[in-house]
Amino acid sequence: MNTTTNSVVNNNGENPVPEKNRAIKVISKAAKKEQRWFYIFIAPWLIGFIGFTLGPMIASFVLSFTDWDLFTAPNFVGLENYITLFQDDVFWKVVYNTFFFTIISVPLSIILSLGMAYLLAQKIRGIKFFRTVFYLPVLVPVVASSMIFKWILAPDTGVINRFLSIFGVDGPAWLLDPTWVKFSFIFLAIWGVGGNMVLLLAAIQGVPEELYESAEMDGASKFRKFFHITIPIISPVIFFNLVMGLIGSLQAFTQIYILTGGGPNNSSNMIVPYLFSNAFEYYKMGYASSIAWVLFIIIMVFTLIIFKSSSIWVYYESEVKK
Amino acid sequence: MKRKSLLFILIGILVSSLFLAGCGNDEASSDGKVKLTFSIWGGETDKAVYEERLKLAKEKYPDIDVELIYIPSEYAQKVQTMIAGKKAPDIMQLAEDVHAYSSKNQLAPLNEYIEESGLNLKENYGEVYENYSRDGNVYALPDRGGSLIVYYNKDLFDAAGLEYPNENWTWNDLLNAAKELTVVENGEVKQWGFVGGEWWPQWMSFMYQNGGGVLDEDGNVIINSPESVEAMQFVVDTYYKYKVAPTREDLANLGDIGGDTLFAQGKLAMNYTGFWAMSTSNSVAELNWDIAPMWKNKEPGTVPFGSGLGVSSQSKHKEEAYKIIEFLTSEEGQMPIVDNKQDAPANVKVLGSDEFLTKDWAAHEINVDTFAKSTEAMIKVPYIPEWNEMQKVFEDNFADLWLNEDADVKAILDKTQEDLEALIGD
Repeated sequence: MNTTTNSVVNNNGENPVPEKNRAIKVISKAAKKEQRWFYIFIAPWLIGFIGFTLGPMIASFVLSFTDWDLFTAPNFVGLENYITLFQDDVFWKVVYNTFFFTIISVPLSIILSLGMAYLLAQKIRGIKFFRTVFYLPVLVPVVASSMIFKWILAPDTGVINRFLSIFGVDGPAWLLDPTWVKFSFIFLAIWGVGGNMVLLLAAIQGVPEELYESAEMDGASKFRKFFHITIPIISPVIFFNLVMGLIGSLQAFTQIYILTGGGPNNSSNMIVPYLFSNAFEYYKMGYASSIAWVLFIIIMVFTLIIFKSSSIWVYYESEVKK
Repeated sequence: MKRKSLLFILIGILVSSLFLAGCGNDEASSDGKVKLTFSIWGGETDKAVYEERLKLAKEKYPDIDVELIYIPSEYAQKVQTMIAGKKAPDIMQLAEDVHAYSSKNQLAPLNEYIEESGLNLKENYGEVYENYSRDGNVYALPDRGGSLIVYYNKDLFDAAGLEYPNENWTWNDLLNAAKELTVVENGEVKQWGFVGGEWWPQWMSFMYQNGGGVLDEDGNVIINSPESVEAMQFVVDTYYKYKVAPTREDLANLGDIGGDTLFAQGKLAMNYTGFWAMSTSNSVAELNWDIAPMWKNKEPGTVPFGSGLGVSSQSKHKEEAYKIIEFLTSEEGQMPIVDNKQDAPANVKVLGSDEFLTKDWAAHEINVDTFAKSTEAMIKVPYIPEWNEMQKVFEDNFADLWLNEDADVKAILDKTQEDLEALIGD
């Protein structure tokens, strides 16, 4: 409300003080009406947010200081859950696994989807077919692709190890091996890069042609055009993919639940499946809530770091760099 | 200012609507009838059988209406949510998690109702009812039963000229037969003699047969006792020493199938699992299979399966709820389980009845009396309140047993002992 008033006044008047008072009277009626509509329109979201996000969040924060077992009345236990958490070997193992998965799969997905998007932006025959093919895996539900991966990753009969055996490499028992099981999930993440790819493809196609033309006149190579024009222009989309990918990876659940259940011996277990087990299998709601809050803080910190770093590498056309 | 007040009004509406939604009105029983809810899991056939049984109950107790709450998936979470929301079903189907609920005062002890009605638990259900009891309180009546039994492929036994498995078999007989029945061609196993024992009822049955186990009668952990270690070593040896059982890796190579499927494919001579594998076995017409009670070692031992029916401590009509579960677990109330070939009933009188023994369970005649014979060998399963966490301890510690040829059984069970003691102790 204030911004509208001010901008109107500043645009109109040389002498802001008397005009401002008048402006408020005139604007406020229309603005009031508009405001009412604003709240009516956002009400469904607001109700949903308060009821299904903010409410449970506050509840889980309170519960994280209790020993609630779902059924009997919770007892306040202070910081006990958090203290136990930091001494819980399994927790540190799942945190390590989650970081391992995120730190490899997120950058790899972005690099691969960027490369694919660049190739699919070329003007060649049948390009629409290829775009469809590479996007197709995104349409397959995680449950289904997880089942397919069980076969692809089978120790001797799976496609990957059969392929490796052509070169005399004896592939590992992917999902059963404590080391390689982590990479199996990275494969699965890469299999779904089509989603990122489509966004990047759209961004690449939106890069103004005249920028490339003028660079060509200056004798820029394909390489330079890609790194000095394409990448900076699409950097907001890369930024978006990075943030969303990071949040998604830190919260990986379905594929683990289906493929390995976190095994063998927690070597593929991650934070959210561990949280789920504590909450719904071990009846430790309080403890699970404390895991949720630690995860929330981890995600906040990573997201903040990326947001802070964005001023260095993300370029907005409308923005004036200082 | 206006903006703020509007926001407050919106929040006010929201909060009050949440409260209103939260406290739904209690079902009014103006017609003098008692209304109960009853939660079950399972497939469509299971649902139909429960409905049929409830119809019989209705004939006996016309003034009690029972509404079935059918929860085909995520049963535990949904029931937990209902309990936490103070809307617990009056009657609940229960299995391994029975004492997770009973230890948190969510199940009503049935002792006084049992005494009143003069129900003889042992006579009706055998020793298995003890699985649903804790500290002298009975929390559920056994409803569906059965136990770990042996499935064997008669054609494969005949081809090898071997005698069929029976309740007098020892581990030695088992191992000898498994060796004979494992067929290797060009370094590749074409037929497995034995299924192994990765699944908890399987390795656990071996421990109890050897006089060991997970917990002793006083609740002490005995999983690293010499008897338990010896039993586990035997199970592990079937994979790596004698190579008569498919490892997890072998099964992954076959498309991540389990023993039941391998058996139905005719590639496995001996499997041991529950009642449900009958339908898998029946799905292959040419499969000539039969069942037998479990083998033994120092003593007989098999793991009971099935589920019980308990009454929620939140229920306002516990007495009526008890009447219903007593009827459902009676001979009359159990008969539709047999008529529809749904499962093995828990009532031992039904299990030994002509109806059960003469039912056409398979296209050919099978030894259905296996189920009645097995009841005496049933162990008391360690259904502790921390059951799910205990399973996780097994799963984590035993991963190495099933995957690593050189795993040290004793060391692994020592570690398991330590973890279980910590789990039960806290």
